[in-house]
Amino acid sequence: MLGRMLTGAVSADRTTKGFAARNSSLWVMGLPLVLLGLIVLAAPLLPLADPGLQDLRGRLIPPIFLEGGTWEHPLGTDQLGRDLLARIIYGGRLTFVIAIAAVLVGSVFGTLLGMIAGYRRGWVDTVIARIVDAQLALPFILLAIAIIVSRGRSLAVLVAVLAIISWAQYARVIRAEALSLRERPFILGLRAAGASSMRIILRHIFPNVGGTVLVLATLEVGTMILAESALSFLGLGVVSPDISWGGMLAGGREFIQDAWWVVAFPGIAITFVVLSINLLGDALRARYDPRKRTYL
Amino acid sequence: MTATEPVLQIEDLRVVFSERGVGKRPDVVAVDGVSMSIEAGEIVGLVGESGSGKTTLALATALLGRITDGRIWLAGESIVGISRSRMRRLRSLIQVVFQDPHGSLDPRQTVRKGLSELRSLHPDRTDWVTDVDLLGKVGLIEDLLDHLPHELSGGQAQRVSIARALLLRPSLLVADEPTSALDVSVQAQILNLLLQLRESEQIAVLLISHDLSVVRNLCDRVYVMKDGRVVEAGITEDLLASPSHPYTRELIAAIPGKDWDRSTLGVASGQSAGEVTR
Repeated sequence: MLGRMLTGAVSADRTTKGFAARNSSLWVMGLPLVLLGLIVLAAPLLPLADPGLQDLRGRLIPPIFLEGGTWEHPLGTDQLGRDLLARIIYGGRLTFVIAIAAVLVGSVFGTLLGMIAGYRRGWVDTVIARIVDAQLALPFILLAIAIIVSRGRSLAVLVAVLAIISWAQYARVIRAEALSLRERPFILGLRAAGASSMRIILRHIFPNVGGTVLVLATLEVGTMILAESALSFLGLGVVSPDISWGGMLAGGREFIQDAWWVVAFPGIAITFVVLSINLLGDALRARYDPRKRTYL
Repeated sequence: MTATEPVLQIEDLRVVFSERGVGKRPDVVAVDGVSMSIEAGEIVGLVGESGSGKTTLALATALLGRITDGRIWLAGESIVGISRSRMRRLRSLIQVVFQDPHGSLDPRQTVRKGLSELRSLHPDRTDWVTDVDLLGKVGLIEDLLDHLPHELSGGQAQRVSIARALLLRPSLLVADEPTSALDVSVQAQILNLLLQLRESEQIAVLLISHDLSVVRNLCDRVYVMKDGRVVEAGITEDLLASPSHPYTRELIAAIPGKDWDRSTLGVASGQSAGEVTR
């Protein structure tokens, strides 16, 4: 592993060896996420407690490896006696759904606007680029509070807020790629042959920025999970009885001195997933980095 | 189009790149009042050093670049104020071949898909040549049709670019340094191919090059550009034999091994450009 990482770092070139190493690292980085995804998807089939079932006599039971822990609640229970393991796994479902939906919406809009801005240049570019700058200058929590307070709390609003936070990233990066692609001879040749802008953007620019979008989107899933957690922690995210990891953090924070596990386990889950996603994103980037771009 | 109309005529063309806003750099006049005309079936050279405006002029003539001022006629028709669809039709009269053979092809599209896409751009036309015939014209075999650009050699990719350009039956091919990214033996083949195409397709070529020996062997007439202006123009033989502008003399003096011999390039030495390459 270490040897592979070292050679990967040293030979940042397009050799065949580097290609094989990049492919295997994709699998290594992707495996934990795939496993986690399967567990979360299969949650109703697993022998888990009901995540919403309250048991006030069994509040704040410690996890199994501490004194007083039972196998009935392997990770302990929270302030209302609900099973933490079940809540983390069920909470993961909503967390993932929100993050992935937000990434889809944000990446579609961001990529489209970025391609249009970069390819069309002119006033279209100026307008889109200024909106992107403005968007990136706004603190996201402030924006999220404003939108959620005015539009109300719901899943759709939450996804929309997260998408609004993220689209500018895609737009900025993809605009830069489109700017360089539009001067490439094959694009000029297509224009000379009479291809319309729409066709060039959708049929030729998009396939050639696809790798970059994929890498960005992967990294953004992690960012979206963090943002969703932050919003839920502030009480702006998922509404109880729906469960999300950020909401679990928020609910457990008063008990952190007596029952650290109530916040620790959701926190570990967030950290683990975001870290895995970032590592996967880095592995993808090594493969699709424009500077190392090979012809496939 | 009548036989007497030039395929391309430009008059007093200016291309200025300017920045807007605070702290802008001064305007760059890339092409400064150039006039040029190209007759059907003629090979015209355009030489000059890097930065002299050759490529900017080439893009402008192919209606791909910015034009600040000036007039352009394609096949006798002025392109000012014409409709979009007419413009698209006229534009296909000029096709371009670029320097970087691989950059000229979409890296994610096979040769066949690229050609059929070009046909689909002009649904009103029916005068298409088949893929196989087209590749035959540029000396390629049909096995290459399902290859992606990175599977082609530089020479093959350049032939595919030329084939793509020919598909639309242009009357003018603008070739912007078409051989400078290729190795010497392939260069000669591509240049021979251009000569052949002039005969077989009655196509005019605007050949942009910094290599005067290439221009001497290929071109009927030549324009010399410096700092965005045409400093000298004329019949190739005359111009090279008695250059009047000091810059032209400099360019000629800079050619290594001035004892030109047509055979050194392989041009007109009987080597066939149509020879099939794998």
